Amino acid sequence: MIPDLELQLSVTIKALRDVVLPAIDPADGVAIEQAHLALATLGMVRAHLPLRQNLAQTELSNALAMADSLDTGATAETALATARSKAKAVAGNPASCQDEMEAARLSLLEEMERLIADVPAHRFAALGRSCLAAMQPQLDLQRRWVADAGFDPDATGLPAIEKMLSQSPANAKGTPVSR
Amino acid sequence: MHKTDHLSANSQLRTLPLDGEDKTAAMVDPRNAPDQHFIDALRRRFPCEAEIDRVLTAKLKQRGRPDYRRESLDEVVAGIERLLRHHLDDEFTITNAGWLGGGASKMQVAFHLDWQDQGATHSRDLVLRMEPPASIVETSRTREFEALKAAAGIVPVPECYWVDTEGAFLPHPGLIYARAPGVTRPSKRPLGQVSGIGTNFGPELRPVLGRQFVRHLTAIHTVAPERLAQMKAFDGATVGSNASIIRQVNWWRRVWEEDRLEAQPLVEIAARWLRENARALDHVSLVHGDYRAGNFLYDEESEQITAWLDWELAVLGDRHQDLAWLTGAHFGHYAEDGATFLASGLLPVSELLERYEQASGLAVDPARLRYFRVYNDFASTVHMLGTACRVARQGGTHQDVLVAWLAMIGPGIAAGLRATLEEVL
Repeated sequence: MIPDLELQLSVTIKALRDVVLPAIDPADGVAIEQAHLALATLGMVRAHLPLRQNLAQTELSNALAMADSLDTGATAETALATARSKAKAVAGNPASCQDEMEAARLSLLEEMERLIADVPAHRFAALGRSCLAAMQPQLDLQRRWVADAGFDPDATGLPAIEKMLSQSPANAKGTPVSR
Repeated sequence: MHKTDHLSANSQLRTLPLDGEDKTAAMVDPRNAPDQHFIDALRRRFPCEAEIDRVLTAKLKQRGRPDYRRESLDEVVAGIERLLRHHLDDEFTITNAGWLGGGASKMQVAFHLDWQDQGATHSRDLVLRMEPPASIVETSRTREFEALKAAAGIVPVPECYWVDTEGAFLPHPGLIYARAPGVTRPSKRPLGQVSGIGTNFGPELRPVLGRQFVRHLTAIHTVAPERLAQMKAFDGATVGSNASIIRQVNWWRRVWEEDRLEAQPLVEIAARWLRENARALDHVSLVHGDYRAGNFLYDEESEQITAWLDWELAVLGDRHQDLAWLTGAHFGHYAEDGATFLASGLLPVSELLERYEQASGLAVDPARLRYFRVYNDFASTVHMLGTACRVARQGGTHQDVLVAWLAMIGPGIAAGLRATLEEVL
């Protein structure tokens, strides 16, 4: 496609940096701050754009792993089981697009949050612990994804984002992660 | 009732829409254009303080409007004039009006005012602090005004003049107070992050500011009960009861349900644990709610703190909330030795807490500190992974690009919340 997304991003960044930012009134601190943030945001988008498909696959895989951690076989978890089943089908289909993977992931998260809200008190601690352990890969991925913003210095110690995405078996083999 | 309310709020959720004005999208995510049924269900499910309920309900009722365009400076000044004409009988003159940056949640305009009041002539530099239609944190100008009044004379705070709680005169609710002199960070040191996070004051200035930091915190936490009783927009807190902290947990859990773009089991785990482990108060304190470097001004020559700012999250409750907040990892940094973590860039944590205990006469309870570490990370996760993304996506703030940038604080905070919950669950 002409012009391509990379070209559009690079020219926008250049225009903001070399023409717009120098022309802003130095007394307008708000405009200067927002111009710098706009530039930094576009830079991040440009770096992340090629990874979007991979990200969608990995996030869905992570959500399935979390859902597995809440699978106790109890009939009360039926809604979650239904969402898991649908999400597995999406994850296992190489033709699934980003929107489909995202919708499946969001549906899983909804059912998981609902289950935790409604689970009886005597089961909460055990399910909570299980879910907390299972969500670490997703949180690590999110931390690494935004590490360049500089808010979380420890996140730069995590593996490179490309490695975190490519480590997902679903990405490597095109097969679902969950059992 | 609880299950039904939850299901009715979520039953139509599918893929989140990209355009808040899209009617089809509003049908999919009720949060885009919440109806009365959705609002009422949340109010029943998450009871909180009356003024907080009012603010959050108003927020939802005006959601779904077209993208916000920041008012021009002239429009804001016209609003200030309307407010002043309501309060002042004599003539006044507004000059040197200009936008102020530095804050993440509120719009601020600095201006000079010359006015007459009951025969006296006044000439002051003032600041209008005003809500945008949507904010990274939705709060009450009435509560902020009352908190500033309660702290006046106790610690340096801007002198408050007028408040417009409903936006009857100003474009949006706001308050006017005196502009305090000073800076939030050393003018000659490298910039930290936005909003003063991680400010490095340098080894010479730290002890000077650190002493004042602890002394002021102590003074705030020990404000007399008679003064606290005058804060009518606050529901009040009681020694021996945990009702106030449960209301606070409900406040942020409600905000999460109102604002989130996607569900996060972590938030529900945190909310349940906080409710089930809520402790009774041992002392009712005025809690600043955002006490840290970046929220005080100081004079670079005298090295004295001139004003404490941003009281919008103030509550009546447990002092450990502030103590856990100001010692948080994202507000401090390591000293030059690379090993000593400085709370708010000023003091090592243990030294700060020890000095606080000595000065206040109030014990610092490690278990309560841990509780409020969970609470603060829970509330911050709601702000950053819920509200920030919601309001930026809907174009409701005066600085969406800043708000979306700040949302990237969220994953680190969420990771900390997860780790702490693993310890306590």
